[in-house]
Amino acid sequence: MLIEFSNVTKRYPEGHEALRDVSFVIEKGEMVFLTGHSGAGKSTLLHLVTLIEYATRGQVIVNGQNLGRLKRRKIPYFRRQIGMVFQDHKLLHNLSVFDNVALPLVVSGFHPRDLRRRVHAALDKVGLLNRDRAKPITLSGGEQQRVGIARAVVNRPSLLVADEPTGNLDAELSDEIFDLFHDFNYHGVTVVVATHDLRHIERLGKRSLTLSEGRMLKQADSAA
Amino acid sequence: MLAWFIRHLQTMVGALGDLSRNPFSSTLSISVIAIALALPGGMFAALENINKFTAEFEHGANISLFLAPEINIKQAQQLKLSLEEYVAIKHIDLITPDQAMAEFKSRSGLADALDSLTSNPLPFVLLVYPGDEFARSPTKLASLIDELGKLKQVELSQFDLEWIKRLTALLELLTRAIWVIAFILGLGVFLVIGNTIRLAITNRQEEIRIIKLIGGTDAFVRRPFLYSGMFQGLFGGLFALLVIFLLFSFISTPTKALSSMYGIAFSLEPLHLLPSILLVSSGAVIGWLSARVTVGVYLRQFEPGKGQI
Ligand SMILES: Nc1ncnc2c1ncn2[C@@H]1O[C@H](COP(=O)(O)OP(=O)(O)OP(=O)(O)O)[C@@H](O)[C@H]1O
Ligand SMILES: [Mg+2]
Repeated sequence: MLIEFSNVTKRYPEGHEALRDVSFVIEKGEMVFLTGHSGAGKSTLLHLVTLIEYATRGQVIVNGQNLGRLKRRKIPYFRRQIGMVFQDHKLLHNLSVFDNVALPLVVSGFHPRDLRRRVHAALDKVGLLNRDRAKPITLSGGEQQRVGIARAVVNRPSLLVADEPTGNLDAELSDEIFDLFHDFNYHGVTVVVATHDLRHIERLGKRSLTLSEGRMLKQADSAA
Repeated sequence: MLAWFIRHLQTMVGALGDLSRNPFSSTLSISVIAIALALPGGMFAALENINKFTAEFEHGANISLFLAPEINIKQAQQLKLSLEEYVAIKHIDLITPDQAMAEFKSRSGLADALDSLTSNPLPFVLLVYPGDEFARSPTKLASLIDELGKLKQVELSQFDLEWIKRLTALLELLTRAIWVIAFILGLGVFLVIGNTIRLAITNRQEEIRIIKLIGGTDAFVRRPFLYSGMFQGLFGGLFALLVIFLLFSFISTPTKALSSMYGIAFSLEPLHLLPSILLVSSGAVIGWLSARVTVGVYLRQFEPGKGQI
């Protein structure tokens, strides 16, 4: 398995318990939806997976690594195995589309010779190859999100984590985005997506995990 | 190795680019750094010159042996020859009463009054130039003077040692004072650069956050700031050097004129190569250290569990 939560509780410093005694497993190569009302703890759960936050209690294992025991200086190398997609894209607006997508490679010391090919391959996958010189600000919301996805996959991560990637997009655009995720999953990438949009769960027929007030409600297999 | 080098080169160029993109604020901070470095640098250069000046003075320093009035020229010459055998003595000039009188006349402006004297009351004088080893050590010099004074042909052995001792002590004090000033101003440079780095980090918070999210190491985040701090210190140091050289060339002509009036061939020298390199590199090192400490402090807010996303 790729992700394992065992009795995980997350309490924020203010004392609010965002996750309570959460346990679940996500297997390698799965695509899983994470749903629940606003404030249920979806983002918090993904933050524990990507080590933006530490669990207060319980154990989080990702890719065989117990995150509570991971040394601080190893965190960057851990994060390079994960592609992250954010609702607000988190692109750097002073850089071109190409440079934004290249950033994970530059950061990990990728050889400049192969960089160009990799970046173009990632941009090609999201259909933005012809916009590589543009500044992100000149792109539409859907296009910016696709740049964010290209950046998340350019490192060929084994895990793709997305937190409401289509929050601001209309139905058609959000279908496109989810189809992209579906395609990555088809090619072997484990995908975890937090979303309000229950439509895709039925459409794509994948498992979903539902949170309510910090507790795991059901682990339904909607493909049934 | 090559990739590593290219990456460093890129961040280096990037850091230079950042400095040139904010010409106003970077010129301002570099000027402040330059002033803070030029001050102690200029003081050290001035001190070097005073040292050189006194060394020249000490080097030409000689012991005057006023011989007894009954000594004639033959005896004086004999004494000169026998004293010149000593290792402690480099050489000796013999000044006859006539020469002494001539010089006295030309210098004192009392020529008319002196002309009215019927006989020359001045004795023979031996100007003894001590060997280098003795000239440099006040204690050895003192014992040499003492010994020469004991010779029966010598009436008076004279050397004005006190003022050199005092000057040496004063220069020592000055040197230390300048070190203290240099330290305080170096701290100032450290804080100025730290502040610009802090501002740069604040301006690039979003960028740092994203770089850390996609797996950038602290070293990667730090690198451009380290270069930026180093370049600020480096340019500040170069600028300081320029200021010192301009200042010295500005006062060098009047100094030369003044010293020639006193019959001393003395020309002002700005900082030498080694101290110049030291000044510029200490600027660079302070900049680098300051950036290192500042980034170290501010990077902590981007660690897990700090609610930063
Ligand atoms: N950094 C934080 N500090 C304190 N409390 C937080 C923090 N982040 C989230 N919370 C709290 O934890 C609870 C869960 O928040 P979380 O963002 O995980 O919910 P969510 O399911 O992602 O909601 P949404 O659908 O609105 O994004 C909320 O009550 C929220 O106020
Ligand atoms: Mg959320």
